[in-house]
Amino acid sequence: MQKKIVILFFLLWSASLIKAAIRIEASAPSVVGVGEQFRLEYTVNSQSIKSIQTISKIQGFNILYGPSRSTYNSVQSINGTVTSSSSTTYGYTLVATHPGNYVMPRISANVGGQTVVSNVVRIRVLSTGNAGGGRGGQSAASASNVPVNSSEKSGKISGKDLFITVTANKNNVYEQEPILLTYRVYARVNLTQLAGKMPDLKGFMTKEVTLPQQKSFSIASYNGQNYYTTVWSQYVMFPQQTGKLIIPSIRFDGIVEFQNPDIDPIDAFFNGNSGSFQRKKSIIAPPLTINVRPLPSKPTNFSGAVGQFTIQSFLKTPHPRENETIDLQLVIKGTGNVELIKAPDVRFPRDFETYDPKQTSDSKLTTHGMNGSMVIDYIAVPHHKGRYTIPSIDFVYFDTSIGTYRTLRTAPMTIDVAKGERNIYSAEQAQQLANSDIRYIYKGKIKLYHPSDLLWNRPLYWMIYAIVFLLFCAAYVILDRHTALRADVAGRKVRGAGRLSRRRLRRANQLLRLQKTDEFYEEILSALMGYVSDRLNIPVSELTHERILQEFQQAGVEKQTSDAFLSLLDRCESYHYSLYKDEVDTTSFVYDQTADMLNSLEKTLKKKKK
Amino acid sequence: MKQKTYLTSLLLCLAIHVFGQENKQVADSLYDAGRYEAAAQIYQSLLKKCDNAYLYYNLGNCFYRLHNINHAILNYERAVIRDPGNKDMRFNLTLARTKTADRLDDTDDFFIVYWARSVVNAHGADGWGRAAIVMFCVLLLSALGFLFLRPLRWRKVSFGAGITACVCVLLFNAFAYIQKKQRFDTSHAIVMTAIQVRSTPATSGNLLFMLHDGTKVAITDASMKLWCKISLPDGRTGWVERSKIEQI
Repeated sequence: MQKKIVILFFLLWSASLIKAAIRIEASAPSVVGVGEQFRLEYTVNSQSIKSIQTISKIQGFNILYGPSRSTYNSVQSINGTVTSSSSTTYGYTLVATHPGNYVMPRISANVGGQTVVSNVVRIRVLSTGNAGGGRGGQSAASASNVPVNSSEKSGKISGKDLFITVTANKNNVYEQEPILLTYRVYARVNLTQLAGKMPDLKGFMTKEVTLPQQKSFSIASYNGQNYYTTVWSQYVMFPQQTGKLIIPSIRFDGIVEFQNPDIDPIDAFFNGNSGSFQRKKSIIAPPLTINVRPLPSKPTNFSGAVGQFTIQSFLKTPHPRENETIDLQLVIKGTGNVELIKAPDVRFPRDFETYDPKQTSDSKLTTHGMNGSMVIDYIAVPHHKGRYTIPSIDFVYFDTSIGTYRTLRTAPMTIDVAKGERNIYSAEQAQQLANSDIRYIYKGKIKLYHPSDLLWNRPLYWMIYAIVFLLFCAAYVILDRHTALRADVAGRKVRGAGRLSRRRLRRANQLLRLQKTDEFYEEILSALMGYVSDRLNIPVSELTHERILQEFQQAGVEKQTSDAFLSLLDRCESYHYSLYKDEVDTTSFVYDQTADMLNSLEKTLKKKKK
Repeated sequence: MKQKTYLTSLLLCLAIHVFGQENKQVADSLYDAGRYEAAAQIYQSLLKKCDNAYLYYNLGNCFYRLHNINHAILNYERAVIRDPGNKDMRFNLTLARTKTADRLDDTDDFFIVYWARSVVNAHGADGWGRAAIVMFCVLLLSALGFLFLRPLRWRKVSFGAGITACVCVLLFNAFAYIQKKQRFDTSHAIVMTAIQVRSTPATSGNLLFMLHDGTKVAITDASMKLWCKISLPDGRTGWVERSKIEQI
């Protein structure tokens, strides 16, 4: 605990070393009424005051109380930085006795061996016919020196008690020259509420000045009377038409609170009946006429800007290439109708492809008009390399301060266009693209996918691979067995007998047409013999008539067929080995018979096999 | 009980699906009637439920018609990464890009790179996946042909086909991988309002250059809350406020 105090003390001591310059600051309200109480304060930003001058009398004021002394001390530590401040205030309560302008006495003090003198404070004391007491204080808004009209007691308010004035800072202006329109409320009654619409301003471009939501009233003299007054609303207007433009009168609706003298305050307190009542009052703000002069004969390249401006231009792309965009930026800064400036023409070289300039304005409303800048981007595309000059840009505006047109001119610019990578074709294509329209929306039905619904690289995807691979394995096994079967010669012979002999028959038919009888019979014989040999699995060498008969019987071939087979075989053999061969009729007959025979045999043997 | 909940959830899904279609039709007719704002609202509400390239595409069209080019570009970009093979979507995206102030198109690549990119972008990840499966089937069929066909000529042909199919399977899966990466890539963003690109992530940083709305930028450092580092196709980099850009 003690340690802490020591540290605190140390902090205080170290803080006091870095002390600001010592001053005495006097403060008092700037305007007071006769009979009003207010406070005059002298603040010394130190506590080590050795001696201070006191005031016993002030001309034109009565000192009701004072001096009262109060001290203030604070130590602050933010992020390790310790700051301390302390002050002593000497206050006097005064009441004004005579109207006029007064200077409050300056006092001197000895602070830490230094002599300091206070600053000068001026007070204006307003005269008043009816010095009402009551709500005393230093705030002007609640000052009581404003005369309360005698009619208040009856709840009637005349136009002299509550009214609104309309003023324009200029009544005779040029077209587009900003005007500040002010609605000011004057009141001698206790105005609690006020509401009004914005005037319907035809022929003006109007912007409302944002004023604080909380209105603070001050005291002002108007036509020899004192009023509470405040600026109710302000508009900055840019006339768009010429001639006498009328700002129409508008109506405000206010609510005024009165003290009811007929009600006994004690009675009111116990009966819950307040001693005040409210009245509605509508106030008409008068109309105002503004004479708008047309601008003198406009030059052809007039940009429409009215006010005071400066311009600046620069290339945003200092090293352009062929078929790439050049961005030339023009910045117009100043006060006036910034938003309404038309982009001045830039005469790009003829070869350049130009586009509409892009305008962006950034401005703030001030009571002198719009203050800010307008940035204009000029876009152009050079198609060939080389050195080009962009001529100076003329910006013509109307200067309201001198009442004439002024021309601002930028310096001409030289640009070197380097050889580009992109060919002209793509630039043309891009141009063509820019002129076309978007394609139509998709009207078909849609699948309501979810973001993770991609099939790829999910287990299912690789499963498909596995399935395909399994199918492959199955196909492999089947095909492998098939090849093994093919390797079984005997088995294949049995099954392929019909086909083999058919092929032999086909060959025989060809030979028949070629009149090669010898070979024909040979082929027919081998067809017949080969068929039997393959079908019944008997080597050709063992094929005797008896063996064939026996085997056919076993295979269930009818006797008739086997006999016919054997006779056919005999006939062929005899023809084959005889010299009598030149009868075409016989050969074709033999061919047909052989074909029939093989067919019927195949049918029977196949059936039997099954 | 469990079955019942399952049934209700199934019905709910079905209802969403059916209403989804209906809403889309309503939005389409609103688009036809020129009420683009209303149509856009429906598409946006549909997109909250499901994620479909065509919805983004139609929404992009609505924004384009409303002259909101940066939102149009954003939605076209989103549509294109979901359906890279769609020609209409690509066309509208390139058209919308021509309406922006900064035209930093990255098409002036070497033509082989450009060509390769357009091949990869011909299908989405699933499209390439399907093609890979088809090629895998071709590979196995030619393997069978090689193993079991007798004539030498046929065996030679199936060997060649098998090698080609094998290369295709690998290549198509690689393409599918690229597409999938693109699909879930969040490293690109569209500038929504004109922004100042600064050298450090603070408003006190040096102003490097300006970017206008509708420009596509790549986010290279997204570790900070309010700022992120971006880079442009031409190699320029800098820091921008995160609120001024929107990720694709």
